[in-house]
Amino acid sequence: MTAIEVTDLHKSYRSASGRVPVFQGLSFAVGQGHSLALTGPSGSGKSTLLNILCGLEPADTGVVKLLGEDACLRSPDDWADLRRGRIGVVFQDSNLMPALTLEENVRLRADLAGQPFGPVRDWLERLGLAGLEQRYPDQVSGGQRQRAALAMVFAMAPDLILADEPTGSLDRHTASAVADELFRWQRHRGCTLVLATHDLSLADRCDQRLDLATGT
Amino acid sequence: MLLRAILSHYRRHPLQLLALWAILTLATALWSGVWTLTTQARDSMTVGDRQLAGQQLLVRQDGAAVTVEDFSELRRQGLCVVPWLEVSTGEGGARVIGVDPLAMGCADSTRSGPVPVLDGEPFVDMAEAARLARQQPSVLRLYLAQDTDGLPGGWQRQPDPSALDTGELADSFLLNLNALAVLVVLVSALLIRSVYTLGLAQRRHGLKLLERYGVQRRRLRRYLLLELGALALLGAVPGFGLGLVLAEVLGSGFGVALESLFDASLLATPRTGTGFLVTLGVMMLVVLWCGLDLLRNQENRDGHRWQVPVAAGCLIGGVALVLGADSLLAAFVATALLLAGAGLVTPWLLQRLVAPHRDAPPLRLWRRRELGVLVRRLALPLVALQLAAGTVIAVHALVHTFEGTFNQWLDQRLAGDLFIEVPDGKAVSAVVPVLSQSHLVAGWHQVLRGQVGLSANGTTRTLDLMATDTRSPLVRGWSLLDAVNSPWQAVSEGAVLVNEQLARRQGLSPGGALAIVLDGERRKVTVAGIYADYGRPAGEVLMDMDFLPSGYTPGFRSLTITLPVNNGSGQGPLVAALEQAWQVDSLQVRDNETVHRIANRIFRQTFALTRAISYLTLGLAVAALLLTGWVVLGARQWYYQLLTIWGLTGRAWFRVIFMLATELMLVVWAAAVPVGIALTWVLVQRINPLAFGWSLPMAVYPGFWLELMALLVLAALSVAGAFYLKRPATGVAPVLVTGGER
Repeated sequence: MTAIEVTDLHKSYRSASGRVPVFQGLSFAVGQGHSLALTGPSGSGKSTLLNILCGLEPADTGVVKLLGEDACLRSPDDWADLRRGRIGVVFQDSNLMPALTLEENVRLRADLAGQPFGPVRDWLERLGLAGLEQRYPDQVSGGQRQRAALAMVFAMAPDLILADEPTGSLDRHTASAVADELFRWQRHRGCTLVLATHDLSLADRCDQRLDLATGT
Repeated sequence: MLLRAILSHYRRHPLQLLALWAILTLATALWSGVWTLTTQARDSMTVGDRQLAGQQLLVRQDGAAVTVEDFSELRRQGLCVVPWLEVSTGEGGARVIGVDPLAMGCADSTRSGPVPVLDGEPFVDMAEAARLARQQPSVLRLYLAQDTDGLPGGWQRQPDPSALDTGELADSFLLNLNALAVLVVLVSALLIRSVYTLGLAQRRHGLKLLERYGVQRRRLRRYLLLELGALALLGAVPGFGLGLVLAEVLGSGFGVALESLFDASLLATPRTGTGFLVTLGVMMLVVLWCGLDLLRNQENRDGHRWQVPVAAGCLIGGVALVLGADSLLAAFVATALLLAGAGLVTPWLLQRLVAPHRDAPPLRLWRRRELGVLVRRLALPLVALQLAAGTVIAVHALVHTFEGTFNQWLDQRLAGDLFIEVPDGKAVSAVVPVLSQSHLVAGWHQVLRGQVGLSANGTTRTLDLMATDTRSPLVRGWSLLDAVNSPWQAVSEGAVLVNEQLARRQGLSPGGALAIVLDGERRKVTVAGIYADYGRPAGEVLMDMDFLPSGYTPGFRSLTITLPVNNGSGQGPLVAALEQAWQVDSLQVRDNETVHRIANRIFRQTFALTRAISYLTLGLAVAALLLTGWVVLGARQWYYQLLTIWGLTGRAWFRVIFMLATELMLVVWAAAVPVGIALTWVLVQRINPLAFGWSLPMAVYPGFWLELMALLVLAALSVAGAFYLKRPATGVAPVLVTGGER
């Protein structure tokens, strides 16, 4: 079954010198439970594509089928519903609310997704954050923050994870550990993963790879 | 080039610069407007005092009013006395003062210094004043302009006691206004500091970059202080001009209030040069205080440690002082301590107020935690808004209590339809047949006004006297502030009532004794009660006219008349009948409604300035909180955007932001109400008696609190709406997310 099917996608931005094209007829598909790495230099449209895939930015033209439905027909509220329960988004940093503890952050995300709070502590423990539940984001390391961000996504049990440079701000060792957790969970749950990265070793761990510079 | 780099912040944030300039300008305008008016008033009183310096009031030992014949007789005896004839000129409590240039001559020849010139509009030639005095109520005073050993029999010297009291009260009134202006400056300083500090936090990154490029920190600070100084100058110059306009606009009403309340005229011209220097100095101090943060490198998060004990000390000291305050200065110090205590304890208290329960639903937990962050980040503008809103609540309560009490008091005092002056030389007995006609008059009584001597500590001081038929139902309806049992019965048997001003000054209470001199006759009378007497500083004694000595000459006589209920023809036939009985062409007739209107206008003018200042300050505080709130919300925008990314719909997101802004406003409101109540009590029970000579009952107006709350919620709605419209469509995290503290 296909989780994501993008056909003839066009997207451009307005600038002082006219319209700057980002995608001109981009097409690709990702099967359910598979992973896709988006690569390419800065400005090639990795983040833009992730935004289009979660409804935060509209495409100019083209067809985006997401989780079996034509996403182009969705209203902003439908997109919000989808993001709340079925799409998990992870950024390079700043994934957590600074005024909440790590545990409270995970509970908030689970609550919005309508998931029970019971497994929240389990997720934190399994991600190596036992004992740090009551710490605030500014009291833990960058790696620990990213693990907490993963715990938030895991706690909402999504069908699709969109990750924008999830290990981009981490050292090699920590990045590898965070990526291990992400792939382990994705395979275990059978959910679809799309991640944007400059890290080719991380991209190699995905089932598919799409270079946005060449469109292949 | 460096200066350009430093100032480039305002190119990116022009609204911040505009806000700083606007707050500085408005604060300067309010401060300089009040300073100009109060200084002008003080100068005017000094001019008046100088005119009469060294001159003592010459009064009759029998306490009777001085007449023109007395003046002529004294001058014939070679005494250098200067007449001072005050004549009411009609509406608004306005009056003219008649002086005699020829009579001043004997004083001038003995003076060593230059002769001061009274060139203010209220001063007219004695002949003109005497002409007016034939138609209008008047008071003649004689000043002894040249020292002399002996005085004719029946006369005594007396420092002008009413003028002295008036002066103190007027000073207190002006001090009151100055205190309000200081409060405006303090609130503005808090606002300017908060806006500037926020701006500084935004600029810190750029400033550090300049330091890394090799610019000395000291040099950077010097430039920033220079920038602050320039800002102060840019705000102070137009602000001072606006202040002068404000003083000009409010001047006439202020002048009338000053005259009617304290017998003081607004004569002197404003001191523009000094005013500008003082204003500039004040504004420089304000911006320098704002620049103190330049010396700090990071936010002091442990500030509450010392804040709470200091706040507790201020509050305890303030309460103790305000309860025992017997001078206006003590009352102001107490108020300052209370406000400082409230301002210091509020951020700490609000943090606890908004602290959520750990088991709260996650989204509510987040909202309350976020509210805690906003309360801490916006502590200064929140306290400024709290103090401004508290002041507005107190001023509103003061004015409304005053209006209510004053109207009630006027209704009692003016319990009649018409007030008719008895023409000079005419007897009331001549019109009794007219007043007895039931189709023309339902009821009437006579009121006499004159002077009475008050014997205390071996001297006799002149007080106002009001005598009437105290059996009249029109009088017996008065409610008294304090009284013995059956006070009116006691008055009809020879006791007296005294006004609040006299009771406060002399420490009188019901049942106490008072030594008075009436037409040379010394009497010891019992004080049966104390009545409210708003709007003038003079002491007054009220007695039954049956107990006046037979030869007593009142300064003014009037009739209070109630018309029959079904009197379709109005006052016309009655007035015509009275004119015919007295054989005069016209009568001075005033109806109840006109007197009410005039009196209310004067008192509204009295508080116009206070009201204007407090509401402008509130507007300033709301605007500054919105601006700083906008900056802080903007800095945390990414975290609010996360909620959209996590699936909150646009409507739900707006609801969350609106709730956040509303809760912020509500906690300020909740903090402002107790401040407002406390300030109201201090104003009506402590400061008012000291500044005006009379107190007001304590009253609160929850309806107005709700109006204020609605205004604040409206402000929250506007900021949430603007924030909703401004939210970015994209979910991409910025490279540098600022404002992420908890």
